[in-house]
Amino acid sequence: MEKKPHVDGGAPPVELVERLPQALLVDILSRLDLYSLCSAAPVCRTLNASASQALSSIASLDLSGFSPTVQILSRILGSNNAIQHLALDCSRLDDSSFNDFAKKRLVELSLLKCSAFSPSIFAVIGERCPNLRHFSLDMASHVKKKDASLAVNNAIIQMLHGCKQLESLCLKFPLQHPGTAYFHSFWLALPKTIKSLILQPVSNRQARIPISGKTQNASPNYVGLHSLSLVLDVITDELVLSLTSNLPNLAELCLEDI
Amino acid sequence: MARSSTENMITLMSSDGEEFMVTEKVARECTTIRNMLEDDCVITNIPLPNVTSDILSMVIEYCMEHVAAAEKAAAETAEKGSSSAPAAAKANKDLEEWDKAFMNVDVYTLCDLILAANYLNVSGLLDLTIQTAANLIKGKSPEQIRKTFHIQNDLSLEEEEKIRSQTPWAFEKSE
Repeated sequence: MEKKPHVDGGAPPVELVERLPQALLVDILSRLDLYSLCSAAPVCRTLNASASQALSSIASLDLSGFSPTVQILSRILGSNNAIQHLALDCSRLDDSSFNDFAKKRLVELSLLKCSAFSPSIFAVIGERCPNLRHFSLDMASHVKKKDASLAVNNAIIQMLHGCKQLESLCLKFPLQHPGTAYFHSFWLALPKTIKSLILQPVSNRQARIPISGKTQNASPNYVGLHSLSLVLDVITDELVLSLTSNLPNLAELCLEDI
Repeated sequence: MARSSTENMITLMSSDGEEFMVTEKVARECTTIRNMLEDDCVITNIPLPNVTSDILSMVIEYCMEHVAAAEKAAAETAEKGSSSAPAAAKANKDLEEWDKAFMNVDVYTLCDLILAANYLNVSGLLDLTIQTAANLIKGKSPEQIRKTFHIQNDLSLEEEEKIRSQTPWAFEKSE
């Protein structure tokens, strides 16, 4: 392509994007929605570089409106270490995308329509996201619900040990596992900061809070819960009693049966 | 040294040698100039080799309008003891309208204003011009963006295709 001289009257024959320093171009692009930002990238070399830089400094992103592939997510978030709030449609993502979204500065993470992640997702988040305060994960409706394995339960405990500032946790996928022993460790692993818990579904037996903590000097961390929402196989008086007597700060309780 | 009163006049000189007399209060809207005045309070003549007279006069117009609006708001607050919310909201809206009309410029002027606001460090004007530039990009296809800003595409077809393929969903709507 040939460069044509400017003929329009009086306009300086200098390209705009060459006159603005990159820091200012990045400022401009950083104010765009993701669609517009990506439309600016293929305009020219300078804008492509500035767009990449703008992408790397995005702190808040809602990717729940479309389902990115591993490759697209890598382009958007691969070099980003500033992201704090992220909502992500995971229907086309698998374990190979962990590096692109499990970032250190994350405060809020919503993983929607998960279908192909292995249980290690929880362990990875526990390891890499120490600042996480709000975490939610739900499963794509088309995925056949099956009982969670012990590996899932252990990975969740690992996550709780890593995310020491977690305030709200929402897990919308089957947690039923034969036996209740591990669930005691789930309750006891909840961090001190926990305020809100949503588990859907969970079994009546698991939802019962272990009594062990009460007899010890220090109160277990779960007493800080303000809000609890459970979807249960069956709701019994005994369960309601167990919850209300063990959670003195509870202001909101929502129980549903399947 | 006696404290300088707000009526102190400062001369700003543009790159093409034109002189603009402004009150110190207006000049202080430019953080760059405010810092110079604080370093050396007897300074009265400031050369600005990076700003042409056309652009400098616009920057001064912006600063004067915003200083006047702030003074008016302060005077009303002092008079009534507290600012009345509806009046303050109207004043804000008027200033926003003024800003909007002020931004009715071609992209070259906009670009010069961004550079001047950045160099003189006028945060309100920088924010306004950057947002205006962003609004001009918003919702446009790459081709429309090139047209709006008179940008020559220096990417090869293959390069452009590769960049687009990294975020294909972004182009489903616009093209």
